Amino acid sequence: MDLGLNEAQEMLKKSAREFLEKECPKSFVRAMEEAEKGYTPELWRKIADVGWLGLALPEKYGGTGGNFLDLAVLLEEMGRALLPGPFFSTAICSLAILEAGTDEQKAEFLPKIASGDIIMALALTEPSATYDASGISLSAERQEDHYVLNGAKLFVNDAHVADYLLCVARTGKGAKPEDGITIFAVNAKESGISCNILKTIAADKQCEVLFEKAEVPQKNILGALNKGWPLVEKLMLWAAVGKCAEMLGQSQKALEMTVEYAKQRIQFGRPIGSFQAVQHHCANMLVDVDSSRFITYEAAWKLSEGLPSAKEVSMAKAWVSDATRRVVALGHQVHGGIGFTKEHDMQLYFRRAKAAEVLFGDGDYHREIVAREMGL
Amino acid sequence: MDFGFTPEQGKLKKEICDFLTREVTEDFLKGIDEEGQGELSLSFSRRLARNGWPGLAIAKEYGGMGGSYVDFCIFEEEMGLHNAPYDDIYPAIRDVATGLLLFGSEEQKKKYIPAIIAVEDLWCLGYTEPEAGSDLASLSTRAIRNGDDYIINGQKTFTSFAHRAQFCWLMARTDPGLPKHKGISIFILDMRAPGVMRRDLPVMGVSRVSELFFDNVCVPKENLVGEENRGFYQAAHTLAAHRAGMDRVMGRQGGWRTFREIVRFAKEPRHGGKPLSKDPVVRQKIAELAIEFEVARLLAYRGAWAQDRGISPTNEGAVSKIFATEMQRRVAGFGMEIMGLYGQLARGSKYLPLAGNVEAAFRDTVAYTFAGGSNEIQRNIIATRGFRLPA
Ligand SMILES: Cc1cc2nc3c(=O)[nH]c(=O)nc-3n(C[C@H](O)[C@H](O)[C@H](O)COP(=O)(O)OP(=O)(O)OC[C@H]3O[C@@H](n4cnc5c(N)ncnc54)[C@H](O)[C@@H]3O)c2cc1C
Repeated sequence: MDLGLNEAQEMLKKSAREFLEKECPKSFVRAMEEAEKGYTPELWRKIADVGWLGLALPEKYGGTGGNFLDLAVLLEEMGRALLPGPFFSTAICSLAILEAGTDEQKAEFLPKIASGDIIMALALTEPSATYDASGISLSAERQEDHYVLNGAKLFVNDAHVADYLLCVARTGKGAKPEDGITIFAVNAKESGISCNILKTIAADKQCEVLFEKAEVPQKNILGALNKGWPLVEKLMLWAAVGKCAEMLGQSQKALEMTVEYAKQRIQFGRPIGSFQAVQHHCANMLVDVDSSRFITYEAAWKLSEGLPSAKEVSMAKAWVSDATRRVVALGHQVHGGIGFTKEHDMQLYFRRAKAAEVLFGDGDYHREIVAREMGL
Repeated sequence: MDFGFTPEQGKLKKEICDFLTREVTEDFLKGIDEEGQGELSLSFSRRLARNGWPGLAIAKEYGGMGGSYVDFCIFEEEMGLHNAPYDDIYPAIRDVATGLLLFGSEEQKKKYIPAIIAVEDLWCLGYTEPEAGSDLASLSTRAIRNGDDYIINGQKTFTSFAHRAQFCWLMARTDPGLPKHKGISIFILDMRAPGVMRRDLPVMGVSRVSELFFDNVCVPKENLVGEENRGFYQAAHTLAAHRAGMDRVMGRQGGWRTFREIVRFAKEPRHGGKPLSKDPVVRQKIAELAIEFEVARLLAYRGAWAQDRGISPTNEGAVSKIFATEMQRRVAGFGMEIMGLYGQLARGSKYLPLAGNVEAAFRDTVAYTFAGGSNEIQRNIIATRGFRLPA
């Protein structure tokens, strides 16, 4: 057992912290909330240049040969910095291509992802707003050597800037809703695909994507026809733990901001941090942050090692989703009025934490999975 | 990062598991519960000790196995998972052996630690007094140097395990002229010495505690542990080790045992046919508690891992103690909730569900959030020592 990061991960963490403090100050985060793209090509290029887009990809595809645990370390720092933009979406999609792609697909997509030349987005959820297979109704019908897609996807992060969408579609009907699901790598610029940015609590560019007779060549099927659901489940595991890592970074930073503020803010002639009620809020935040850290990394480690991890991932996502919400709420309590102002950073964390909580399954959703895994 | 065990640890875990599976049967547990802390658990603890496991994290020169705290945590986790009685072992290992290793003389280490590991000697912890609970530094039991001895006068209270202990790990004031934190020392007190009087202090839980009275008890000066007047600071380390223990998570009341029984109860068909476990609210609650157990377990391993790095687990122990004890209360409370009217039935009653374990846990876990250092004090520790917020 070793509950610390290895040397390379420590270095990654340190350099990511420095890079993001410089390149992604809160002024940038705020500007990107307002900007239509939600990212800048300049920063995207720099991110590609430091190798992060290929962090968990093998060297032969232009990556640096890291694993999912390394990616989690990086995502924690990105969460801490509230990095806006399509990194998360692209990284998660790249894992799916690496896992299920044919040699041609890997050679086609992965080097371009690693080099920052293409952005990807995961088009999974629909207006049904569920992560269960029963929620997938976007249809893909075979016509000669291609498929025609019709339907709507909702809550798709970064679709408006994506070059390719990994689109989860229904190609058939089976005994179970999980049967007949196929994943396509869809050229997002294809005619018949339109995209509207939704206004969200985190201003994080979630989109509605409409497919009207959009054509996808058959060779762009990722994985097996009609048997795409296991890959969706795998994607959900990566994405859920990735969100945990982001939330962990958020809650760690919210805690640090709060302790710092409690030392500085004077009321009744003394720092508010000398009041026990405030001290206990801080201590309670630490309990949630520490517990989030170890349950997140346990799940990330299991995934990285290829161990069965469905239960641990759901445990982590359920726990960290709720714990982060509690941490940020206590952070607000300690900050009082100033934290409620838009000038203050705390509200950024509050809004992001809520989005991360519900994306890829909230506490209720994942606790139900844990219950099933327990044989209840 | 690596959340797994080495092959050797895997082997160790299995050996412990096999032993406990053989020993800790349903019948045995029934005997233990009826008897409380008695001969049955003591003979079990000694059989177990023949394998050396209580000394897993203790150096070989003192009779230990020379392993790590993570190894020891593996042992503690198995003990909890099997509901094995643990009270004979953990106070002496966690507080006394840790304290002796850090501050004791070579003679003390050689004399006491092997007997602790073998569970030959049982110990109790004499910290709390009637007027000194959370404010431990205000304790007033006196130790006055008299030639080659110290003469002890005063009273301790809430002392667990005192009814069977041969030794007491005693905190007493050696210099009332100094500021309150700076005049305290730690002693090894033989419970059989003349002038030691013990009285049972009946409590609402399963735990058994005593009051101790010292009337001119003579303690030889070799039994001073560490430096005179540094006892309070020494105790900070031993109490940190105490709180970092896995027993907090895996304790027999409100630990894995209680939880597993609650889950079993929830799966049973009941009036109306459908088991409670099919109720969405109940499922959510059970899953939430299962997640909390995993969190508590990881926090305990984190404490052990920190100790293996030579860190005194002050913050780690505080976080782990707060989380685990509050979870144990939630576990017992939830069990009572889903048992409805049956939850009230206590051991000895007809219709008793789950052998009365949930009802017992519900009473006993009340103490966990203040015994061992109240959770408010743990939060103070995190704030003032961890975050260095102004006191
Ligand atoms: C079952 C059981 C077993 C025990 N075993 C032992 C043992 O083996 N050896 C031993 O020495 N002791 C033992 N104790 C005693 C235990 O350590 C004390 O109960 C504990 O330290 C609290 O002290 P107290 O009960 O005097 O409560 P008090 O200190 O009077 O506290 C009462 C309340 O005030 C709060 N409070 C006090 N000070 C502060 C503060 N500064 N900030 C915020 N809140 C505060 C506390 O958190 C608590 O909620 C045991 C107790 C129990 C119930």
